[in-house]
Amino acid sequence: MKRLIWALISIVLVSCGDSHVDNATAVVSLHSELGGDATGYERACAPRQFSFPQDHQAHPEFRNEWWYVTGNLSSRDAVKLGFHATFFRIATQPYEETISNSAWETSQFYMAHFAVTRQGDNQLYADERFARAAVGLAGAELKDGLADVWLEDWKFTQTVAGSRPQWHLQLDADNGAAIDLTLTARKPRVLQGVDGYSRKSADPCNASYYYAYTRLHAEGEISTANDAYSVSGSAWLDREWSSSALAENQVGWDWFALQFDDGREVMFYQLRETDGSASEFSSAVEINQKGERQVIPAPQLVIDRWWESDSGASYPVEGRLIRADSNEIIKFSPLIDNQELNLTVRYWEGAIELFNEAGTAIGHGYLELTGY
Amino acid sequence: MFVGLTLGVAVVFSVDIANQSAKRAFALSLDSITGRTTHQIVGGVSGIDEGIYTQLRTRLGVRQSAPVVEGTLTVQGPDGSESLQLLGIDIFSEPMFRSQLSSLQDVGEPGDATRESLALLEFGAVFTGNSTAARLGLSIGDTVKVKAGGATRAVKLANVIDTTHQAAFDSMVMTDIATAQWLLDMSGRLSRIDLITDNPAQLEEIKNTFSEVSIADASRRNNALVQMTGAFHTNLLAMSLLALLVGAFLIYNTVTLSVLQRRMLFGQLRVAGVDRQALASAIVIEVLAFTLLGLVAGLLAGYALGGVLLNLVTRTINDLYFTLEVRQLNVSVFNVLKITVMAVLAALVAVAVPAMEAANSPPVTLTQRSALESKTGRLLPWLATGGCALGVLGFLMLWLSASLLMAFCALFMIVIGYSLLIPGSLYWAARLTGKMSFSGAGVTGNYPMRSLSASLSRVAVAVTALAVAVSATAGVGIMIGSFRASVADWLDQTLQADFYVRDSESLDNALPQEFVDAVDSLAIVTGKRLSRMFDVDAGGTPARLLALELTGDMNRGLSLIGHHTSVDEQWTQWSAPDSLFISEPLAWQLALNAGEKLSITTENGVRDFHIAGVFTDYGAGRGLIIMPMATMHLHWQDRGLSSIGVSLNAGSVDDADRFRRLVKPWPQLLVRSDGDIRELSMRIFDQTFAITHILRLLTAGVAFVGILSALLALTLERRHEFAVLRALGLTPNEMRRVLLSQTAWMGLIAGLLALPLGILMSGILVAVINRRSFGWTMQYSVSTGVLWESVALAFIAALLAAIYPAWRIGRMLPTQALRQR
Repeated sequence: MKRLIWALISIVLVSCGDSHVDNATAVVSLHSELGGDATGYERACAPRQFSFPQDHQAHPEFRNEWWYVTGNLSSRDAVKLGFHATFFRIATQPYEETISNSAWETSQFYMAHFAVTRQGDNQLYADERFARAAVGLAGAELKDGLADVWLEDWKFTQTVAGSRPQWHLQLDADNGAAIDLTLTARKPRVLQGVDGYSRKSADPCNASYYYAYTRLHAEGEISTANDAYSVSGSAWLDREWSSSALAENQVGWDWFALQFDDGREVMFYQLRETDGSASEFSSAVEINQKGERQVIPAPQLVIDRWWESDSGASYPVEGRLIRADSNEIIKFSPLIDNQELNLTVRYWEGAIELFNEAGTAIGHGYLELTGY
Repeated sequence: MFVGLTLGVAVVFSVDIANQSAKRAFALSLDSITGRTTHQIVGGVSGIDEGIYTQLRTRLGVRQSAPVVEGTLTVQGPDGSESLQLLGIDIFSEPMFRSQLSSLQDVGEPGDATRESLALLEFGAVFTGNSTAARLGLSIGDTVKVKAGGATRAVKLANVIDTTHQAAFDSMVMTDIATAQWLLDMSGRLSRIDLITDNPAQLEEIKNTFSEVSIADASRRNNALVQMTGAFHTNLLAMSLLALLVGAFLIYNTVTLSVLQRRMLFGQLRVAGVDRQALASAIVIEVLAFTLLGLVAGLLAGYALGGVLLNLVTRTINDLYFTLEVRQLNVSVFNVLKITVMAVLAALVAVAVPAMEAANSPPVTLTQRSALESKTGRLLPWLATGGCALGVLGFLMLWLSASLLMAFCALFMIVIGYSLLIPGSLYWAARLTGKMSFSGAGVTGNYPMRSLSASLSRVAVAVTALAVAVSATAGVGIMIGSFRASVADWLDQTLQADFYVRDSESLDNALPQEFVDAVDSLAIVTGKRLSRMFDVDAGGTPARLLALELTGDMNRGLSLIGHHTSVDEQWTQWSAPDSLFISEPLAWQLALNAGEKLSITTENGVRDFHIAGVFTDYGAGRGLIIMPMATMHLHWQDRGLSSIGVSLNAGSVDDADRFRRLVKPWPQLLVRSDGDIRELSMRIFDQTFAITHILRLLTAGVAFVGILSALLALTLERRHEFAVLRALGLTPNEMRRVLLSQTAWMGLIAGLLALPLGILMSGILVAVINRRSFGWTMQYSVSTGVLWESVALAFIAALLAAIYPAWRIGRMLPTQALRQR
């Protein structure tokens, strides 16, 4: 559910001529732009039949797609760390129409970024890269029945197939930050929305195909600039592809991926409209210990604290979710405040810790704040 | 005084800043071509496999790497067409490499640059410099026809790059690597991969992984380029130093005269009670004030003149080396400071002697010129001794040191040493002429010469300046003449075929096989010269490799130097496997000689080749290697031909027409006759030296002003003497004749004195400086024309300078001049 992000990337990649837009106006102008832009691309207008492992690889007939991994980890000496790593695919043309016989000519591009967060730091270790899906520089393909997603030597490689698949995630930056993790699914795949068809606005084709692995066991190494840690913990994988996105009146996005210590997960996203209210297409689901998915009413979001980044944006990094069905109160606070990713696309994506009303730790998760 | 100063300053300043601006543009252009690249992965003729780049990125994790596809194409716009360099890049690999993308950053918000440069990703989109676009009449969004490798294709001008800070971009087209491969027919291939690394282990790993490529040290490549143009700049520097010398003479001259002509006044001031120190400091302050005024005016004039010179310098670089567009004069504080120090020093030295003298002499002698003249006379032996010593030192330096800089220092010392001898020679020449009897001509016969030797202190500096200026023009003239003759001979020898055919875009492009076959089947062809040319890395230096095959009655067309073995023997050696010839500049650059080994990076790795001989080559730029086609085929896969030269039945016009018709079906091919090439080469040669002609004229101009101001001061000061002569019965015309004959004599002496120095200078330029800077050996030939020209130049400059003073003398009223006394 990272629509805003791809929207911003798209504007970077596609609307190159329009040189005087800042991020806020970019988002707004994008909405009007998107209506007609999906022409020629395939669109998600109704549920479809998913098939695996094929759906682990790229769907180039759609405009954009991502493989998005987030996770909370702890080292042997109990240092808490968070990470997120994403591979985005962006198409600049609905179909591949090659004029030349140059292998470099393509309309499919990849962007990947990752960040590592360490408890007690006041900074994020992050990096990003771009490459075209040509001459083997980047892609998402099946190799021997396993999905291989890569951008140069950054890799998200499936190593085990089946209902409990396994991946190897490997990225590193020149600044020393690195991720080298084995991710093993602990629960089956979840199809979000209606059988994987996730609708985002009144237009049925403003939707995406969306599935997730909400609990993966993570084990491996994480490095910040100077320190390397042997870590283990849990991660979350989101897979989504679509061709059209936000409605005109939607400005931003708060997205929660919560993993409770009792084995449950909650996914909740709230689209913010121009008037500040939550869109009716916001959505929440709970996945129980057995991996069964259940739609729940959208919880109420109460903001307790804002944090202002060096770039001048303010983010609601601390607050409470009040469940409408059970009145359960889930308090969240960031592992560290400064988890703003200030690369080509600027937004806040951070590890959070969860507490009950009494202040007892009950789990952790990832929070994404965009459009601020 | 003011005019003299201004001119002196202007000439030196303009040459200095033009030279510096060209250098700076050159550095900038190197930066945008190779950027911060430390190494380059390069291959053979057809470049390297693009898969190597993928491997680098995905397997070896070499992040600071960027693929490049480059070539030449012709861009056609509504206002003309131009041949430009095409640079195909992958925008995602570029950020840390080249500075050109950052030039987009000058406009708008940060981040716009990234966004705008992404427009390149659209297939068929190109960027070019804004001035290139303006020249060709193109605007953003236009569809542009480009021609490369014989095919014409349409691309879109997606953006222009502001070239104010990106001079190199003016002659470049930038595009995505996919578009570049398409335009240049290079799918699957890269021209090179740029690397930034200081890690030898990483380089070693790359070398081991890809044995078919070689890794060139980019700084060495750049150095070779810098060296090439460095030599040219050094020659320019020499010209500017000569201008500086003449400029310093001029300043010295004007200052001396301004003090000399008021000796009387100073004497009167002393009589009136002004003390020594006050007088001396007053003179110094006055001169310094004038110097500063002249300096400011000179700087302004020099700046204007610099623009003109810069154009010429740039054109020379473009002709000789590569396309370089400079529109901006680059002036640093250092330039201004340098010229200020020069002017003030020259003025101070010039004012010191007369000021001290004016202050220290008893008032009564000040009013007598004879006192000064006798002092000047006493100084002459010392000047002559100093001059000889400097000259000897200069020759010693030439002999002992092999460096270019030392050669210039030596040349400079010899010139100064010689110029110190001039006043003495002038004195003796005046006495000699004075002793001759011109009694037949009456009073105007003997008087001019004898009176001149009595006013030596005034004219010596002016004559010296004129002599040095003229010697410089003579020296450079002889050098260029020798060079031109050598080049013409070399062209005659090299151009053996009647027609040469090549691809009009680039010698890298191979001729179509159908054309080669067509030539083979043409019966009228009596001999062929088949060649393939491409860049190689030779002993760490980039060089051009020419693979050659001669058939039929085609002559060899190379002039081999070095006489240890016979020419035939050298050719026999050359035909043996792994042998080659190298050009004289390359031999000089690599310090190699016939019989030694040269390592070249081939497609099979680095190989040692036997140098069978060294040949004369006046082509500027990279050194040239010539090997038999068969030898090239042993080490490179490429089987294409860059050019074919054919000889036809001698003198048959029909055959020539038939041959031209044969080429017609291939519009991308260029046919040139040997005559065309000779003419073009000589035109480029003459253009190249256009700047030296301008500098010669400027130098002569400076000297002319020197003579003029000296004469003006002289006539002003000798008004009384002339008045007496008039009173004695000389007519105004006779008076004019006196002055004109004096100046004519001065000009003649200056011209004659300039000749030995000019010949000496050209000898040093030809035998030492050009050899040390370019590696060119030339035949030295002095044409009497240049010598006559020089004497005439000095004579005419002096006579022209005398016209105005003579006119004034003629109009002088003797009574008034006498009364003033």
